[in-house]
Amino acid sequence: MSLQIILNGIATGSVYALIATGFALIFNVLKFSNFSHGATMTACAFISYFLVADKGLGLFPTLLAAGAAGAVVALFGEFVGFRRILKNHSSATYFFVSSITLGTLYEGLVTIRVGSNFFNFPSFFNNPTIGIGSLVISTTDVMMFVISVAVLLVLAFVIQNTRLGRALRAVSFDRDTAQLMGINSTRMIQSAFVISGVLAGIAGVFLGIKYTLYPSLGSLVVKGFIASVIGGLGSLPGAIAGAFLLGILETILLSLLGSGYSTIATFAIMLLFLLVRPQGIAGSNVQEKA
Amino acid sequence: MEPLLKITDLSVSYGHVEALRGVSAEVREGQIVSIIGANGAGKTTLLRTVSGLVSARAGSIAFQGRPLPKKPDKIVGAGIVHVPEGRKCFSGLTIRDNLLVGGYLFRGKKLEEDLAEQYQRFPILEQRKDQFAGTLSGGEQQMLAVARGLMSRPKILLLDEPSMGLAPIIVNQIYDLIREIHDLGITVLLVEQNAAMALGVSDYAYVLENGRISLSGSGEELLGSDEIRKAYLGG
Repeated sequence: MSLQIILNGIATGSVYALIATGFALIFNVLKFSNFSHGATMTACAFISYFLVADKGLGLFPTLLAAGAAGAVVALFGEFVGFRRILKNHSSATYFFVSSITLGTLYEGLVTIRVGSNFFNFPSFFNNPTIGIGSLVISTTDVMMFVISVAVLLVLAFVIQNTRLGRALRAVSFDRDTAQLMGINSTRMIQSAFVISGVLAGIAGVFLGIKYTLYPSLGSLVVKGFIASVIGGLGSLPGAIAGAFLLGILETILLSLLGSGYSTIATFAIMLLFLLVRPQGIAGSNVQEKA
Repeated sequence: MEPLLKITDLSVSYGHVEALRGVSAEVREGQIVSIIGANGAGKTTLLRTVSGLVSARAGSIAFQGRPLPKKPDKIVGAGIVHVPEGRKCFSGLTIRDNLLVGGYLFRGKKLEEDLAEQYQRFPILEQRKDQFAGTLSGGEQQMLAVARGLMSRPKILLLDEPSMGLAPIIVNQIYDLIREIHDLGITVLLVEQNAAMALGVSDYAYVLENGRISLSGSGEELLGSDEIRKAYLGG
């Protein structure tokens, strides 16, 4: 097993970590998975493709546009799809229907605009690879890793050490009691959606760069889902650990088994986790809900 | 003098079940007022309605002579702070974070001072500030819940069953704490099943039965009443 494979795995894992974290944040407030997260990624990637990247404005404006689009789309989703359900303490089935419907809607809108064509982000770098000794790493991978880690570090700091982060954790634990401390829980849930949307936007662009841009790109959200199951649903550190583990595992399996079997193997690993350690790496998500 | 908190003809229902029927009560500034009654009498519902978690079907609540704000977070801002039944500490947050969440409406130096004050009052909380709240014992969690409530700078503190599930010696500590809070000039509205303890500290008390106030009087009067003795004091 070469260092090369591990490095590629880490780069892939960093994108999965963005997806898994966005997923886990919403899981904490809804106590349910937001299945529209994938389509949100696709929609944001396309919005920033047409508004910014296609006009040759470069990587950072593209990411900013995708993040902003993610915030707007997520706020819309929260208001239309989840607020009333949450307020009425309705059963999880409604979240299921609501999030699937929203996801299908977003994907449908994207398909109407672009057909089922494939798009390529312009190459943002002059040198496609960086060589360190015998290792060759793609510049894109390095960029994705650096930006993902930076974003996740900022997020970890906000969640752990700021007034907003504490309030978010309190609302995730117990919405009613948090309100008794003067916290506007609707505002906090909106904040969670905004953060999750920004993460979805950035992840969408990265996936679009790494693979290609197409209307069902969002189905890659399943990787984030697997990562957060492996990590322990609802745990942010668990989601991140699960994502890197998955990224590395996948690259290793890909080199050993080829693309067909490696996909099957990753699902098998997730099922194994659900069977043997359903609480995931992080253990009880009661201890570490954030 | 205008009462600090005035509840008039309050009715609350959950679906078809009427939890409160025409409840009127008042709390004057500087008093300890308790509401006693059996399980399911509507005591918790009354507090949850005052703090805005439940909305009333009819009736009104006034605080400092003005109608109560609608949203729970605004009600806290007005100075009504509710320490809920069963403590409801955020078990996966550290003790320090629990307290800081309690002081959510305040920032900077004010917040730091309030935190220091609570640490001084409850040294155990400072010693264990970086541990998860879930690791505290029941009595300690009740202290944390009260300390967290005080972080919100209450004018009136609503305490829901602070003695629930605690050993008698700890219950005594909690009641000493309630007196101490009262001495700080904070008005207290106390809900209890433990009638003897509650009546002992109360200036005034109401008895809630099946969603209605059946009796009210000073703490001493009710302690001396045969009816109360039979129904709530075990003899």
